[in-house]
Formats: sequence, structure tokens, C-alpha cells
Amino acid sequence: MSQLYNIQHQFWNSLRSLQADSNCAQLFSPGGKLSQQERLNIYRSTMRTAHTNALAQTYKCCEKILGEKYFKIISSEYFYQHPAINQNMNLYGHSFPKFLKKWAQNHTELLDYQYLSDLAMLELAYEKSYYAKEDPLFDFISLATLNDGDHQKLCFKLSASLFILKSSYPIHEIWLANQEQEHLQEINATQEPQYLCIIREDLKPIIHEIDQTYWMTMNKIQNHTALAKMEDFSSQEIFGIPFKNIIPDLIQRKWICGYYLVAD
Amino acid sequence: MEDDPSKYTANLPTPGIGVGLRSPHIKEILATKPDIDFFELLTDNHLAEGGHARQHAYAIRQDYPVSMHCVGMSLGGTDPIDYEYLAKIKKLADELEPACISDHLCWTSFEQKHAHDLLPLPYTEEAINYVSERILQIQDFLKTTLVVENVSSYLSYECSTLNEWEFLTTIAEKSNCKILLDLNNIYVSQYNNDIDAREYIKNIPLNLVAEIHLAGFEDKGTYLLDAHNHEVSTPVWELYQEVMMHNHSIPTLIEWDNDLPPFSTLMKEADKARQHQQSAIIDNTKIHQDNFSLA
Repeated sequence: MSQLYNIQHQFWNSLRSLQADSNCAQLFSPGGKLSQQERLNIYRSTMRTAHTNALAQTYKCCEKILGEKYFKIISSEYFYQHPAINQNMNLYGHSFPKFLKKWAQNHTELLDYQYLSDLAMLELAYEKSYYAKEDPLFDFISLATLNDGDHQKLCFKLSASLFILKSSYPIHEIWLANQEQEHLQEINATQEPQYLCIIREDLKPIIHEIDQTYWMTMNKIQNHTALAKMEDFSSQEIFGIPFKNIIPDLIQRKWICGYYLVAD
Repeated sequence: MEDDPSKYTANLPTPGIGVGLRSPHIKEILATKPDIDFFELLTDNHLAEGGHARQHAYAIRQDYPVSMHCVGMSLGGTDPIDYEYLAKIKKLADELEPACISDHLCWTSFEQKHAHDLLPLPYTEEAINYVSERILQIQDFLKTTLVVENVSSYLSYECSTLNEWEFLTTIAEKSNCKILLDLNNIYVSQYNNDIDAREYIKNIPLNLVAEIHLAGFEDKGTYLLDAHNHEVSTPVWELYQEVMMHNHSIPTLIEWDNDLPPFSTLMKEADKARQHQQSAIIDNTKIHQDNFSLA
């Protein structure tokens, strides 16, 4: 292995480890105002700060609720366990909601904050919606030319900027209450699950509260359920809204942006 | 569209003064159309195909030349070149037609994990040959002359056999790339590593320099941090004046990334840079006239 590779290997391991590595510091020239270890520590600190700042940028509400100091403890722990695998820092921390769920379960001081991971999922969906690709125009002309056989294989596509969420907590209200321009107000804990749809409209993600039928319909679409199969379940009594209204409504809103035919 | 190798060269307006494009300032820039010669985009913030960032880049490009400043090529990294990343840069460059594309003389990843920091290279013959070859390959893919920036450093390697300016210049000559001379980074490195900033800039062939960056550091007491969160300091302006005396037409960018001030503050820094350029022109004219009259 080349000297360059060996240097980078040793340096990298020192950046990513919990404890500073004095062996790595020996790679650097001694002397001057700082010791070799202090010089390494500058890089350790700036790298960790870049990652924890990226997490704070995505999970603003979680940081606000947990406080800057405590959030930094959690996000530093996340940084050591989860290196960035993407060049794009905006994509860092996609497993943070899951990490936060485990953290909240294992730390008694967060007993009353079990909603945090759902809130983090909402913030992640908001971020992903913002950066999602533009949708192509819906090709209604070719849809109209499908034959009966093709109709059996028809699946709809949701907008690339659309994400659906289900939570036992009033996470939308919690999110709203923690926006900069919002004033804190009492949030009613609810027994009813909350169904949300986040989609980018006019370049900005918007959070819509939706009902269970819409959530279940879009969930089926996301899971590649053909329209024919959806029509089968939609005739059941549990659905209050006529199914024949839901799909056209989703198309009109541009929440459905296209279709494809499933393979035989 | 056929690739035309002559289409992209390091071609910023000369002499030109630019500022970094940052999202909180974009509304104001689009509304007021400030008197600035170019904007520099942080490329990685505009690579996502959806959202405001891309749209803003297109809007700015309607009225101004832009340069694309990247952070993820890892020119000195031992991972294979990330052609997927380069393809995204190329796609954006095809749309924006930037005056130049730049990145840093450093490494930023290891075994496909990313540091999101600019990590230092040892100044060795091995590194020169390795980095030069990578730059050649990247330029070949992007069909452009890359502009490579010196980074600020907080250490030097025991195994280095050259000084930084020799390292930077040799790589530029071997790979036919251009240099983005960051004077703040030189000053920060001088303080942190006991190098001579004046000696550094004296030994950089200015015909290889396509752009100058000016930024502010954070004084941490025992070291200076390249935080890009302050005004350009007096010693850095002095270095800039010295460079301008030798070549006043090198395009210059005011870089401010963190703790962003109002846009008017950046414009004031840009005006200072213009004044230094003008004063260098006047001083050089006087010297020329004096020499003429002596002849």
C-alpha cells in the first residue's frame, strides 16, 4: 500500500474514533504553538461539528425541544456510529429518527418525549420533499389509450416530493408550535392517530393532515398495488369516502404524477 | 449537445470582483441586481435537481457569470474518482455554463465515507504524481480546466519533502490546471505552521492563478480557524495588495460562508477589493512613468 494510503487510513481512523489517537499525531511535524495532538484535535472537532450542524439543520424542532447542548450529545453519538456515506451533506442523517427512537427508549430523562422520533421523521420528510426531483407531466393521452388488459396492471406513481406519515402523536401541532414564527400554544394530546402528507408545492414543502382513507390509498400506491386490486378492497364497508373520488382527487392535486404497468 | 473542449476554460471576468452566492441573500440579489462582476456558487448546494436551490442558480445565471466551487472531488483522496458525483457537476455545468469550476487540493473521503472537511495532504513526490494524474482525468471528464485551491492547514507532515507552494505549483504545471489562490488560507497556514506568507505568494507564478479568494478567519488564540465568518483581516488585505501590484487583473472573490452578515456587508468587502485593485493600477502606472522618465 502506498504511503499516501497509509497516512489517510491512520488519519481517518483517528478522526472517527471516540478517543484521540496519539500514534496518528506522530505523523505530524512537532513544534510551534500547538502540540501534534492539538493539531489532530482541530480536525477531529471541525469534522464532528460539520456533521452535528448538518443534523441540527435538518432536525430543527428536535434540537429546539431537546436544547442545543443535549442535542449535540445525541448527534455526536450518532456521528461516531454513522459516518456520512454521501457527498451531499443534505442527505446526512436519514437514520437519525430511528437512532433517536432507540435513544429515547434507553434514557429515562426522555420518558415523556417518545414522540421525538416521529417528529424527526416529519422533519426528515420535509427535508427530502424540498430536495426531491421535479415530477414529469402526467401523460394522460397514453393513459386513455390503455386496453382492458393493461388496466389490470396499472399502478399509479406518487409525486417524488410526496411522503406520507402516520403517528400516534400530534406531531404536526408540535412541529407548528416549534416554528420560528409560531407562538407556543397548548397542544391537545389525542388518542387518534395522525395521518400526514408532505409534498412540495411552489418550491416549498407543505404538510397536509389527511384522513385514513387517503393515507391507506397512498400507502397502497407506494407499495406498488395495482389499481385493479385497490378497487377490490375499496368496495369494503370500512371506507366512508367513495373510492372513485379519491384517485381523481389525488391526480388533480398532482399528488399522483404518473403511472406504470406492472410486469406480468 | 456535442462536447466542445474549448467551451469551458477558467474564464472569469478580468479584472473582476465577485461574491459568494448564499441562499439568504438571493431574494435581495434578484430584486436589486447589484453591481458585481460574478457570483460563486457552492456547487454541492445546487446539485439536487428539485427545490429552490437549482432554480436560484438558473435565475442568477440569467444576469451574471458564475463560477462553480466544489468541495467533494477529493483530488488527493485514495478512493477511486467518483464519476457519479462528477456527472452531476457536469450536468449542472452544461446548464449554467460557468466561467470556471474549482475544488480544493486536499482529500475529503476514505473508503467511500465522507469527512465533509478539507483534509491535508503530505507534500511528497508520490502525492504530486498521484494528484496530478487524478486532476488530468477529472479535467478530461468535465471537459474543462479545473481551478485548484490551496487549503488552510493546522499541521504539516513529517514526511513532506517540499513546501506548500512548490507542491501546489508543480501539480498545476503537471496537470495543466489553474490555481485558485486563497490568501486567507495562506495567512491562516502561516500563523498555524510558521510558514512565510510573503515567500509563498512570491513563489506562485501568477500566470497560473485564475482566481483569488479573500475571506475572514476566527482567532482561537493559539491558532487561527478558517471559519469564513468574519471580514477580511488587515494582513490578508496587505497580501492582496502585494499580489495586485504584480497582476491587478486576477478575478477576486469575497468568500463568507458562516454567520452570514447582510448582503451589503459583502458588497462593502467587494468595494474594498476594487479599491485595492485600483490603487495597484495607479501605483504601477506611477512606477511605469518614473521608469519611462528615467530612460
